[in-house]
Amino acid sequence: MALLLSPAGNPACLVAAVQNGADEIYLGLNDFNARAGADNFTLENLGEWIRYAHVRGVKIHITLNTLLKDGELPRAVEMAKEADILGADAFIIQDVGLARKLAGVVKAKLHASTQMTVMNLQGLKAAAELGFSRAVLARELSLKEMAELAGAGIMETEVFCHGALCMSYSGQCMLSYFTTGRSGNRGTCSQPCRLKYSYTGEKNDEQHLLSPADLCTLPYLGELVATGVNSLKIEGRLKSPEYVAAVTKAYRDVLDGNETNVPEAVKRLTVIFSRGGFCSGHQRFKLRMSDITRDYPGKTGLPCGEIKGRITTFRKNGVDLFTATVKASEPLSAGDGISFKADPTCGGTVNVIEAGGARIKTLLPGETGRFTVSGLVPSSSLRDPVICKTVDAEYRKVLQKTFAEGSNQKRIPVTASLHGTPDGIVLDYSDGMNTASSQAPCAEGSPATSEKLAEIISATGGTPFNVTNVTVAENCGFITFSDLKKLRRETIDKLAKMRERRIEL
Amino acid sequence: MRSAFLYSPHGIAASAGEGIDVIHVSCLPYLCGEPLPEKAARPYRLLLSFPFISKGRAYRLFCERFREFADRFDGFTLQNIGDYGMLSDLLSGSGLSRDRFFVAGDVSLNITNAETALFWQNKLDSAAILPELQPEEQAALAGRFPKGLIPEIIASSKTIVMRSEHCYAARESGFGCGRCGKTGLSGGSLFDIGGREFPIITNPLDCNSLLLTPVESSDLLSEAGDIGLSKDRVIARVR
Repeated sequence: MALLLSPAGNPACLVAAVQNGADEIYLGLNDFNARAGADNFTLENLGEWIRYAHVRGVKIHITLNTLLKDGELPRAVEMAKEADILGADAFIIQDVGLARKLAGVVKAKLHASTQMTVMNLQGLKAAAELGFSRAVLARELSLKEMAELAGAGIMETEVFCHGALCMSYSGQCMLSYFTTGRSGNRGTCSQPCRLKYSYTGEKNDEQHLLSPADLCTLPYLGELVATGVNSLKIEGRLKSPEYVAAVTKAYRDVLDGNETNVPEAVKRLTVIFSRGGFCSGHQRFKLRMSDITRDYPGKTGLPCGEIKGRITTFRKNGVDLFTATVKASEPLSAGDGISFKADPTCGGTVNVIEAGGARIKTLLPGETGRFTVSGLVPSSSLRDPVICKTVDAEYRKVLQKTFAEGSNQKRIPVTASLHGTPDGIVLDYSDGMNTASSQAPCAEGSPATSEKLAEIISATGGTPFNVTNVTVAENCGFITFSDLKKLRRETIDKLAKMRERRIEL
Repeated sequence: MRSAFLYSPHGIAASAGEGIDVIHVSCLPYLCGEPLPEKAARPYRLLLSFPFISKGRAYRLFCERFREFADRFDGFTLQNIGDYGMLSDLLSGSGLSRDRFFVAGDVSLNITNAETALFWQNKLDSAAILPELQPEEQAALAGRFPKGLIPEIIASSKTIVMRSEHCYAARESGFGCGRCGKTGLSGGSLFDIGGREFPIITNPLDCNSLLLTPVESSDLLSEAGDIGLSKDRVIARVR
């Protein structure tokens, strides 16, 4: 089974990724990473977040995936060494010089960034010579080509399964540098591929000719997994925690066979973020012209209905509003965000929906209602009456709960065992790899029942652990409930401490 | 020393008359049917570039015809980190010695520091420095190149700024249109909103394409002396 690798541009995204089922997370520090615009992490807080992830069985990969100048190499090496001491599991590297400096020096694995443009067997062999143990393959490979490289057994392979696509082979693009002085190879891509171009130099021919739709592999994830790649990577270190939560959960559920309605899952992701829908990149067939978002390169959302008749605009308390009659093709609720397909920069938040003379919460597919929306309408006449859902307010709340403080849906299964020894009562918690033990002296008085003891040592609700199997020996009833609870806390803390170490699997 | 990088073999004769020491030429026209250069003693080295994208039909054809190419060219220009291993395998499979050929590395090898250059020492004879470094930084890095590896600096160029699996020139048809013909040079241009023109080179074998630096991009050649480039260490590349 392929691992699921999620992005984290900040701690909230990291929690969202962990709690929604990522196996691995990649994140950048303040320097030397390809997403300089993300909040990123610092060496001061990195250790805390590595421990958080490790306890929950999630690996942390640090992106050091930019090209470096001679004067920068020593600092990058130093940064990597410090992150290594903090327990980083892998470094994602583009620069050959940095790889040479770190190979054999750090305990963390070295992963060849997609910026190294590894796309054939010889590329994998060169990466192996440099000390890499995994390569993030070029996004332009077909499923067949991925399978060939994954099957060669030279090293682990990782491929992108979701998110924004570059028009150029990564690591081979200098368009940003040559047009704005900001280098994509140095983490400051200005995204010139999202701007307008023409074939003629004429203004009226300008379109977003270099802007691909985002990749989504959910509809054929089984085929992607069948290539034998080791890890599936979600793009998006500049995205919100809601995005990370939604995409991670969608892929986790499909990978685990817990999603029975993949088209609905794709719709949810289309609302979260998509550019005119999704595409399969180059994985199933080459990028098609319909996969280029010529009209608009930003978020467009899911087509969800049509405006019927005229739109009335007005202002109230300094806020721009409009009312319109909408026939829904997807459920639409008050609080949702909508945009106009003809001009996705216009639209807003649905304040009120009225149907049959009354306010309703949700308009169902096929129904017609009168909407009051705070937001703007396109200034020109509405050529296309289709509106798109850009925010699903209810789903957003569900997602936000997953990374709210105290969120604890990702729990590690453990077994609990309580038994007596001549020196006292011993409690063990085991995750299969680590076993933590604590001991308390026997108490006097009547022994507690096995059922009560089992209930107490199973009560790990506020911890990252979920007790799935309990054994209580006959000779261990002589312990007070308060001592046993204290013993439970100590042992759980010990197990968490043991799991904080670098994951060696 | 001076070198030229040509996307078409038609400029070879003209470049040779300009006191060029090395000419890199794209393999794509040859893969599309252009006749190979004659076997001849030349006053310059003629290097055949590996395909700009290291997979697909062009790459397979290049490998299949390698023995032919090895007879007609003085060396090869690598484009991808895997190309050296492929070259070694092809040489070995053809019973040829590496020493017979001059092997260069293009800007796509992303050399921005001396440690990376060290990786290529004993593999390449020359290597281009990534033109994203400032001219002064390029000159300083050239001075730190390891022994036996000649640094190349792009001085005047139509450098590739995007290598895409997508065909920019395809317009409506998507791919497989074949409009670019056998030479792969008729891809037209893209214009940005500022009116800058980016030439396109198409690959009819794989329907992928390259985007080049704008037509009016700056010429570093005149600055070469000012930033201390030593003539015996640095090849000024002219594309």
